Amino acid sequence: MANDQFKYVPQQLFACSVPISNAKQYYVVDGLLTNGDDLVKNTKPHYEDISSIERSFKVHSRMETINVGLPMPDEESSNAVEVVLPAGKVQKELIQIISIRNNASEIKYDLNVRAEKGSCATVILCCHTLMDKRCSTVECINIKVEEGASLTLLALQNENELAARDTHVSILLEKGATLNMNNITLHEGCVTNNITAVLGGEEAECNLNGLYLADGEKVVNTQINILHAVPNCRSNQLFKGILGGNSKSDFGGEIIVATDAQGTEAYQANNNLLVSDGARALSQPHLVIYADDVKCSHGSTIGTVGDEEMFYMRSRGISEAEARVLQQQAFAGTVLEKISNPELRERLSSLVERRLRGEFTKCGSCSKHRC
Amino acid sequence: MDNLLEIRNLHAKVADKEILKGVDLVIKPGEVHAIMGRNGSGKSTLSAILAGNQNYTITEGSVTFMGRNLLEMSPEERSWAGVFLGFQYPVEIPGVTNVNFMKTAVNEHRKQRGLEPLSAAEYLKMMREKMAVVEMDPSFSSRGVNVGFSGGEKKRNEIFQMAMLNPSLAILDETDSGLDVDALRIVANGVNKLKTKENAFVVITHYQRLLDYIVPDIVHVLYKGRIVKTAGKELAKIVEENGYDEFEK
Repeated sequence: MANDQFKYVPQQLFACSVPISNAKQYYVVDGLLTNGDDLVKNTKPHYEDISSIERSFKVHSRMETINVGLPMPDEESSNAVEVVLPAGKVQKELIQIISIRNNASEIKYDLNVRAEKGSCATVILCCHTLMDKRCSTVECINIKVEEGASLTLLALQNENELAARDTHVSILLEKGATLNMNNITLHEGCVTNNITAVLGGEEAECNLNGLYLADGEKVVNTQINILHAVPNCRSNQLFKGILGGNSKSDFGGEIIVATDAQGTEAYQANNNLLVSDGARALSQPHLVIYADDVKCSHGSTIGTVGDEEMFYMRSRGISEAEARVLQQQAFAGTVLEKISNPELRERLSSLVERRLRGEFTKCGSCSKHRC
Repeated sequence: MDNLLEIRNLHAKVADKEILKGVDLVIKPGEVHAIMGRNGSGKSTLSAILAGNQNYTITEGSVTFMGRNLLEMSPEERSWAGVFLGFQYPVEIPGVTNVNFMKTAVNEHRKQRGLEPLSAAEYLKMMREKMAVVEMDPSFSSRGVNVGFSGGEKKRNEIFQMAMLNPSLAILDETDSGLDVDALRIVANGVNKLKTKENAFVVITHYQRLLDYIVPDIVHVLYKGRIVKTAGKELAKIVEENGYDEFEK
């Protein structure tokens, strides 16, 4: 891809001045990859490939057989970016895909991540906007973690107030595969995160965690669907939101355990902290269990900052504003601590802290990202 | 010497219930006061009001701390001015580590005095010293504030915080409740080590036991929202032996 079709060279403009050590950076501008290699490349959306992933599973309830599975794309995307992690290889470098919107239009693109058999890798997905105009992005992320592979995925959503983002994540886990995904919504105008995961091979493990921060008139919608199609798999979800201003959050979570999926462990928690009178949170957890021998739980809370804690902190000389930040940091901390890479965890914690303090959430000392 | 704290005719209520019905109390630097009284006499209300708890409404009277109207100050302003409340029930704050909590508090105090924040090394040194005052294990610093602490550990943590903030006036609200003899000794030793000619303590308690370790200069008996008797340390012994009946007339 020739760079001269852009007004700037993304690699230069977005080069992290405080790069995450050991990360290889790829830039996707309005859905097109600008610097590909063997690992990450532009490709045509090819659904025959995606559909070679078994997308539909039959689940026997006591009464009937129903089909559940990954949603089929209703309309083809314009571009696709493909990440293929070769079989049996432990990817030492982190793969950071920085997606930048620079065009006030609607786009739809795919990102296909395939962790081949026995591979192990960490992929970071960052979303930013470069202009102050309204834009809308539909992103379909198709993830396949093959037998025995382990994929860690960190998604950071940090766009301007006017950005609308619709992210559909489809995940298929094969036998003994592990996915650890953390989805951090730092700053978005209106975002929908729709994540569907199918545990399709025994001993697979899917850990989905998320943190969403919203203020002003922002809207964050989250829908998580987990299907335990086969026995002896584990899934964990922890999604937390801090909502201020007149922001709104709608969280829906559904865990389906198929009749045959004995020995399933599936847990889901959604906790919301309202920090203003105008903020609203909806939370609807669902469990549908057709098997007998399972350990499952779900829980959801919507609360406000504790008065007693506030008074205790203030009585020690911590100002009201600072005490609020401390409480919110503590609330967010349980999600951030799920990020296993210490450097990434610290980076994200510092971004979250600055966001909670109402500061400009640029990354490190870099002043180029417009958020 | 100038008064540190002057409470004049203080009346306060919570919801529609009047709890304090005219409290007068004067505290000078270097003094240790004990306030004794039955449950419901208003002891904890008085301490909560002094620390700035907004759940109470002041209906009458005044509180002056080092010449300033204390009642107009926010809880944090009171702390900056040198008031400290040791809570009867210290609050648990999951996710906020002790070290982060106290570092924030100490640095906010420093900011008010126009000082630079402490460096990590300076803070660590200070924290280690003050933890030693209450024989607290350094591992507590990385734990959530009071989370999973035993009753005794929570009270030690209160005295540790007091040592860090070095207040002019410390009010200890039933610090002895829930403590075994060893913990009581450690907490009392901590207080005694921090006592100077410039600061003052108000020890609120049901029992004389704590006052064997922290010897008061002046003992008050609070009854139905008023101080009905003030005397020297011998008053605590009388209360212990005869109960409160003779003051409740």
